[in-house]
Amino acid sequence: MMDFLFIFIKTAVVLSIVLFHVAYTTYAERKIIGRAQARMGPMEVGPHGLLQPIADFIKIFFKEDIVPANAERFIFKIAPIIVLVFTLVNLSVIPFDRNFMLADLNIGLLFILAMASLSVYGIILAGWSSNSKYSFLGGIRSASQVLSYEIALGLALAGVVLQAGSLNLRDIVLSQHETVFGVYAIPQIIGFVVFVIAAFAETNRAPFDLPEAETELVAGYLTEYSAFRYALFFLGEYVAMYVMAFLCAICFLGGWTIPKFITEILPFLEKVPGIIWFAIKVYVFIFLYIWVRATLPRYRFDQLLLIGWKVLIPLGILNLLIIAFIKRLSL
Amino acid sequence: MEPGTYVPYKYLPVLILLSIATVFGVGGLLINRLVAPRKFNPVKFIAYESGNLPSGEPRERFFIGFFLLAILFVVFDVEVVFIYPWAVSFDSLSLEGFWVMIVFILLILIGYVYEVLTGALTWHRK
Repeated sequence: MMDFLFIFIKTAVVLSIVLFHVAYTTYAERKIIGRAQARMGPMEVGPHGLLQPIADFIKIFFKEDIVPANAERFIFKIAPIIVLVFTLVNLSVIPFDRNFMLADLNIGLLFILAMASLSVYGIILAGWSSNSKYSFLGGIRSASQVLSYEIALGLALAGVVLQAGSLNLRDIVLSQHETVFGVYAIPQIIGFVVFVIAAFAETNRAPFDLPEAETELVAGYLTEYSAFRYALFFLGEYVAMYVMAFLCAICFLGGWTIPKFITEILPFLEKVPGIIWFAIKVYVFIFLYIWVRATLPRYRFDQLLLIGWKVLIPLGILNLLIIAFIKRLSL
Repeated sequence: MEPGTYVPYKYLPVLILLSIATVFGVGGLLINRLVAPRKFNPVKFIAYESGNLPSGEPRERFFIGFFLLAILFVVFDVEVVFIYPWAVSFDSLSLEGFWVMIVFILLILIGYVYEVLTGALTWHRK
């Protein structure tokens, strides 16, 4: 029973920290994009607009929750919960530090890929049940985009699994620390690039945010949603961004460790808690998301599929073959 | 429970997180329902079409390319699923186990080249 309570508290702490980060990521995004466009960003609520996310969160509760008359009511109502739940559950297998992860599963990576596929259901169901043309097209687009890039993502991660010889995320970090470079991003540079591009497409972020391309589809599958149901999709999207950033930090950038060749030169860095290195890597990746959104224009849909199928998948297979041959020769 | 029964106790945190997340979502919706205003107006419940009345069926016929992609996805996703167990047990594989997988990947690649040549991945056809 004590065990159960302990896990419960741990889970609640992780969940609240991540949701707090998600709230302030929206603030950071508005601030950074504002600066990138020579504006100030939010300034009114609190000093430098620091209380803006809290104000937004409170405001969203006081909005009317509208279910369109023609919608499939039940599916329309549960779709946002599906998206949120299946993205949040990914947090249970992420190792935040050497000894801090909620569930030490030996199939951690596979679990994340499975849950990422499941959350697509929420998007398709939302698009289909809204009974609106924009929502329908947005849902279909999102489904085919996520499916296309999931293969590239899976192939890039297969290279990591091959080199580490395990699907457990903690073991992946530990075996990564033993290598010469200390990060898989250097020997698997092709896989790393494929992973980053696929991660952007998987989370429907710019420059691949076609499902919600406002100039052609209004808001895609979100068009008919309002109030807290809309917020659930929003939270789901940002949590998915964090999950991808966690995965990137763990599988390619060494998780909570820093490469050995750095600690040999500067030994005092080993005293820094691992969670700080992990947080820095995740923040850099989140900043990259925002930076790209501020910089790059959106792709056309056929261009997006072209990149996914004709560039990323062959590159992913190439990366896998290179790693397989290197590992075979060094056995 | 009989001794020796497999208990997936490691998945307990997953179950707990799943339930907390569901409670968070449903609870938020309940609070929203309690505090949000409700003013009835029939126009609010019409599907959004830039201010016009919706015309035609909302679920129209859509481009067959989306369907083709979904089928191709199944083929390639199964390939990736086969690669994972091979990658995990790589160290204990014989030379034969290594080459079998390489041949499998090459076969899939041949199929991939065939798809590209038949134009299954070309979105705009002349």
